[in-house]
Amino acid sequence: MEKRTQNLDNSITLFFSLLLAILVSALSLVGLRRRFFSEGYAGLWFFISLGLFIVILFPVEIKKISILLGFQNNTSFLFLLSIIVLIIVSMVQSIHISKLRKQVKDLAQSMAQNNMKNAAKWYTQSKNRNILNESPD
Amino acid sequence: MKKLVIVPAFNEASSIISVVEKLRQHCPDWDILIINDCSKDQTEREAIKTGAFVISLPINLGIGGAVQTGFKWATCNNYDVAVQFDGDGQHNAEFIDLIAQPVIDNQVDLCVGSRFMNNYTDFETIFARRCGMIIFSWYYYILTGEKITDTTSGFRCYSNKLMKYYIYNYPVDFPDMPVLFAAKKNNFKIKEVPVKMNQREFGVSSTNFWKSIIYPMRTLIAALAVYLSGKEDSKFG
Repeated sequence: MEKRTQNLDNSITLFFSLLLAILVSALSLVGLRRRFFSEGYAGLWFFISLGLFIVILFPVEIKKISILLGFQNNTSFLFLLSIIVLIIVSMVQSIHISKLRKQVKDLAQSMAQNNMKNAAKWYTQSKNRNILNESPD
Repeated sequence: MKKLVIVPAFNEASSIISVVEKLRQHCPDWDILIINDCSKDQTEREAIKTGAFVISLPINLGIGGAVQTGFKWATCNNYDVAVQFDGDGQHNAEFIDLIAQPVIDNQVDLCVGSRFMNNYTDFETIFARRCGMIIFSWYYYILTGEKITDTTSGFRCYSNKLMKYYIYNYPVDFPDMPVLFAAKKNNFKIKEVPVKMNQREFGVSSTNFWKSIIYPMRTLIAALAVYLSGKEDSKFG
């Protein structure tokens, strides 16, 4: 009875893991096709989904690696691995967002200064042509 | 000598004209640049009416981004000194020459107007905020060995050399204490002079309960990050 429950547990875990891996890979491909992901990010998520497939399809090898690295339980190894991957992804995105924010700020500042220069040029040219002081009628 | 007053303004339509009038009255030989930080009210129209230089940002960058825009414009136009002056009427135009003098005399690169030095201690602020300011001062003292009584003062005068540094390395997200750390870390000289500030005349403060708790903590972390970041140019400034 206990073994049967364990087998059922394993099957459910396998099903959801497989579903997740298929979903992530499909989303990254669709994202790339419909252009809501850049190539770099689509590649990253596709690579992560590939990792998920490897973990699901080769559980014995994963267990061997976890024992080799000194883990008593292969679940702990997988948890640590996923946390490391997610931290790396999060850090990469933070760096990217910081760079983008700086670019947006620089663009806004430069645009505002250019607008001011253009307004000043327009004002001087209009004044030279006596446009500004003319009455509307 | 070319001198500039940088006035960052966000939704200050009700005060900007009187602020510029006072500046013209007390500092007739200073140019005035208003940075309209994508205000939602009539700040831009009112600012143009004053006849001062006006730069209107297309998106809201916050006070740090607005002041840095002023530095960029000032260095492009070869200004020797610039004073940061609030658009809400809190700063007193009569003290501009006082805080600019040490910078004009090449004694320092950054001169901060302090509310808490000498005789001018009548500035009223809430207890929690005052505690925060004291903690900031101590924090600055522990890390740098120098005492600044008013680390959150936005009434500051900058030399051209410092502005040229800040156009690449200004901590735009936290323009209070981290700005002082950035200057100190890069061997720019800082001085404080006593000034008198007014209570806010117009508008409302953007600080709420949560901001008043989170902002000081984030500022302390940002200041530490600036202090530990070394002397290289920041990529995100």
